[in-house]
Amino acid sequence: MVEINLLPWQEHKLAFYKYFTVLSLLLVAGLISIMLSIAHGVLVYKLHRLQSRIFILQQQAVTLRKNAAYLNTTSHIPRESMAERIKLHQLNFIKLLFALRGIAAQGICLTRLDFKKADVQLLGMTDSLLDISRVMAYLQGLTILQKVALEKVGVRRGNYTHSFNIHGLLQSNLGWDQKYVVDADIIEE
Amino acid sequence: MPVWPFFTSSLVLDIRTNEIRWLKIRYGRQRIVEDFGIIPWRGSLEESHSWGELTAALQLFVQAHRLQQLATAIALPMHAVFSKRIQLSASLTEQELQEEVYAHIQRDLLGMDEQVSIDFSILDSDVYVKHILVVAAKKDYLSHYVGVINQAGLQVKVVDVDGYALVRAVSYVSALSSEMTDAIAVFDLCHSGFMLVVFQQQYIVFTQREDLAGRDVYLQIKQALQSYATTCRYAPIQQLILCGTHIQCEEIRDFIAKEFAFSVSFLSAFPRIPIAAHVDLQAWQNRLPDLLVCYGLAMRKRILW
Repeated sequence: MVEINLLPWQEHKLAFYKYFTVLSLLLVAGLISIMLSIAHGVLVYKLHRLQSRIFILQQQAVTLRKNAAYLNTTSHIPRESMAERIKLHQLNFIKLLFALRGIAAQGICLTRLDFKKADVQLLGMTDSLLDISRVMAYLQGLTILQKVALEKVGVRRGNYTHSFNIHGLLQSNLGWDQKYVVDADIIEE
Repeated sequence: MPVWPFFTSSLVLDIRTNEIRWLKIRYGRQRIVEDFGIIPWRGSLEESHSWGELTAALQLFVQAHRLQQLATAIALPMHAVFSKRIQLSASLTEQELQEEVYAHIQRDLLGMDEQVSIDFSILDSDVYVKHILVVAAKKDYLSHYVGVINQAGLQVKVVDVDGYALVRAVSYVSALSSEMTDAIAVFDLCHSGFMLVVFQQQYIVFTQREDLAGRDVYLQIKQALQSYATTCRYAPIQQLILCGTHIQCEEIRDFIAKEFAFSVSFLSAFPRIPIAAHVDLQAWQNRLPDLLVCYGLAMRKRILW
């Protein structure tokens, strides 16, 4: 179809395309700015949350350090003294057990060993009363055991063996009661 | 220019002696007729002293319909333009074609001191040549005419030629092929006058406008057709299409068919053209024969600039 336009439409067309290009560029720039602003806003929000989290963690770390320092300063000494005390008792206990090793060399059999606070009860069996005398002499010679006394001596009919019960006092308390029986585990009371 | 030039409306004006025919088109997925009408004014385009009245009439119209700064298409009368069909080499580029057309017109209008506005359209082309329609109008006349309409508050974007707008509308309504080589005549008859346009392959070979006030319509028609027959013997009319709202259209059709031995058809059935919901369909159908030039202008490719 024939279409005539006697106005300078080429110039108008060129001006329109210039205008439209500028308009499109402005629109695109506006859209990009909005998108960047949204992305920036999201990142700032996330950063703020992270910073808040870091601050909270730092606060918690400070609190923990304070608590740890407090615990170290307040419970360090008692804990060490308790350990020392345990070590001391263990040492006495080990010393006693080491000393009792010599009873086996006297030819008697220990059947039971009771510790109650500082009291020590030794129960055992032997073939003769002489052996009991030798054990008493041996125990009275130990420095860690004091006031050694033979509390009871019995005779078993049939095989003619003698049972005995010796009592003594330890220099210091073990801290808890213990009982050792031949062929049985440690029973703590 | 509007901020966003899409989805806007346009106005087309067919300014004739004593009346302005107008059509408002809305652009969307399809063109929809939003409004139409005919407004009277006392004057003629030939009388430059009456252009003030044209501005006044248009100002009232623009204010009443709130059409300020609306993109507008108008048409110059055929007698106010110089048109020519030329042939140029098909190998020319767009720029070369433009330069060649301008040079051609300069040669044709040799001796004319006034500046001219030129536009051209390719009618058809083959491997070797391009057939080009060149139209020129006096720049002073054109700018004065455009200024008068712009002064009324409109924005003229297109200045077409009424004959070509009529041919476009009739070709569309009658479904004429652009390949048709026959010479076809269009008689646009109204009460005050008529316009005869004879075209062949989209190119208008003859045009005549006559005022019918107090004159014998049959005699005027006969003289116009005889004038064509003597000046354009090489392209005898094969078909005549009669359109318009003249009350004697049917008698005139019979008269032409009897006097001149060619086929005469009356443009009465119009294809359905989308109209807005508020437009009166009956009034639109009654008025359409008067608005063919407007319709031809509205059918142009949409202009955004």
